[in-house]
Amino acid sequence: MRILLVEDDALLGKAVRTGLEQQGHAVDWVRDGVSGENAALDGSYSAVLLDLSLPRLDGMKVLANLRRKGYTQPVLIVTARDQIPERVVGLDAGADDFIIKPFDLQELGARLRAAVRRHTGRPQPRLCHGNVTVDPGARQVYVAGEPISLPAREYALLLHLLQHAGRVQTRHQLEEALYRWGEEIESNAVEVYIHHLRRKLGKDLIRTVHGHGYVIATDTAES
Amino acid sequence: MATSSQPIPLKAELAPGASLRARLLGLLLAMTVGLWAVSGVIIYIEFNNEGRKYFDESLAEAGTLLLSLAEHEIEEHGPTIGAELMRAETQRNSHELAFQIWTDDHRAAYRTNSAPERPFMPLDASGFGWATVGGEQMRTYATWNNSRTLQIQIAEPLRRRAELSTWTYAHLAVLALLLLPLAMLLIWWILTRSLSPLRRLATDVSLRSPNDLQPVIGEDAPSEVAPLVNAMNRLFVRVREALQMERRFTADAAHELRSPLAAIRTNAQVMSGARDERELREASADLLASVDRSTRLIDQLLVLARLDGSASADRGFADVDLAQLAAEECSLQRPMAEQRNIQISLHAVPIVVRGESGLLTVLLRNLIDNAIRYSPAGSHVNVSVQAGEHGEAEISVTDDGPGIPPGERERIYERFYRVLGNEATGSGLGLSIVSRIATLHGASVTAGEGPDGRGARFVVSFPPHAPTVR
Repeated sequence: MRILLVEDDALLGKAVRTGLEQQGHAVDWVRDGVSGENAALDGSYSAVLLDLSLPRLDGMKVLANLRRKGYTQPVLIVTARDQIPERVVGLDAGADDFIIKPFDLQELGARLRAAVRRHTGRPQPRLCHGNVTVDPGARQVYVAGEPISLPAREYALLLHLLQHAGRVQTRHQLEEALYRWGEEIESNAVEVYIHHLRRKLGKDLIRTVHGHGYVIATDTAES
Repeated sequence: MATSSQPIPLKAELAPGASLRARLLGLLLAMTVGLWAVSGVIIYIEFNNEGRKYFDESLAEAGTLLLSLAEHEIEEHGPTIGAELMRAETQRNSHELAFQIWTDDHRAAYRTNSAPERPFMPLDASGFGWATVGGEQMRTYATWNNSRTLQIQIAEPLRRRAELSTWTYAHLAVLALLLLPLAMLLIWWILTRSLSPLRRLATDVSLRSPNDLQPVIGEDAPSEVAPLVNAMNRLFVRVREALQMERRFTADAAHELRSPLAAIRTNAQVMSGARDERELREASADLLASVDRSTRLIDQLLVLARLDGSASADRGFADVDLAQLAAEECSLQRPMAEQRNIQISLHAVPIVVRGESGLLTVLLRNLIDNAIRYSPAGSHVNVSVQAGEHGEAEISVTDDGPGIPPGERERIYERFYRVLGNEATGSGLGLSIVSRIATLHGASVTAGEGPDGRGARFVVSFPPHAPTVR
């Protein structure tokens, strides 16, 4: 998943970005409220991790602005403000979750996945298509019940296509989901990953829509 | 952080003797009784004067009446007049009166049993006089009839007058004693009524919860109490503000302590999940930096807590040479500055101020530390100690950093306030500490820009009367 991290603390922000990358996500990190709001509106993120005490624009205002402008992606507040009234205000303002610092990286990942799951209306944590099953919590892929291991980028690509099953994803969209800003994108990288996935999971799973992109069809998506 | 390390003994109740009502009741009663006593003495003196006149008049009246009776008797029956006079005397019910009737040839025509044989007064006298008969003091009166053939000498014992007066005094005294409880009741009632707005105020305040700091509404309070009510309300406002500040500060402090903790925890987890050597190295460096930041934050919080505790200045103040302090602090900070390739220069003339050298060192350290943190690598930090235009001692620290936007210069002294747009990881407390220490020394802090409009420049100016130039 591609995630927007809005966090002004340098040491924490960098650690969260690296930690989430270790879990196979692409993370864009901005350090103030105004940049956070703009980045969320401009980019296509699966979820936003939002600190509250932000320079230039308070996190709560960023959230309010985003929701007012019709931003529907999950927004998770990550803050050290642990007072109940603040949590209530945050959740009522449209936050999907409220995470108190210090937090566990694994739990943060799980909450992110849960929020995205709820958002896509897919309550069951596992994503299945044919004989391919992905368990995002364990970051594990099964083919016909047998676990196989996938490199981070291939895994992220598969997950993105499964989460958007039935919708054609352009190469640009896929690149956005895989890479954070400033990261060098190898040419034909997406084609290469698709090729690897087809070799490991079967030719029929991912269909090419010529001139548009790739899709995992819905007709047999839910098993 | 206004928590004091020493518990303050709270005296919840004042001594009951301080009751205004009891004191007023006592004072008013004492005054009433005192006034009664004074009026009693006045009445006594007046009564004695007026009473003597009254008694004298009635004595003279009785004498004149008895004399005319005697004259009449003698005209009708000759010189033996005893029976008729005795009857008249009995009718007047004046057994105590003694009298003698004398003829113009100094013969006693009649005398009452109680009257002596000798005349009370010389026989040719007339008017009032005194006599002592049988050891008893008597008031006497003598008068002649119109034809000057008969004289009456009439006497009244003073004892009788005294008895009458005493009876009257006793009467008055009993009346006063009976009125005293009534007066007490009246005074008590008036006091209770007058003090009831005060009692309502007291009940209003005492029924409050400690968190209720709304102003007291003392609409019916007498004007004398209004200043107290106003002072109380102003205190409530100040306490409320202080509480809000405390709450905000506690929340901020919790937030500021949680952030480095979160960085520590997350970096530890990143290390355990590191995918390569570089990630491991970076995360471990960041973890150490986070621990250092927590340590520094806690140190700064403790400094502030101690500063908040020492509200009054001039405790343990001595002559401190700012130039010497600045020199020491600059040499201490140079290693850290050199790591970032920042040069510290010092221009100082010896200036002595009254102050606490430990606190002034902390002030200098925070200013220089701030300058180093917010300056780009390879820049200059200039520290100077000099006399200002009006002889005030001035410490100034100038850097080549991004500077402080004019709109934020008021807010930088707020606790945990940071200027955006740099990688520096200060505690957000440094300038609060500088400002607090300056205040304790009666000095002022101003933030501006460097000489060529770049960077930030902090000037701490000590009041001109305090320093003495060597």
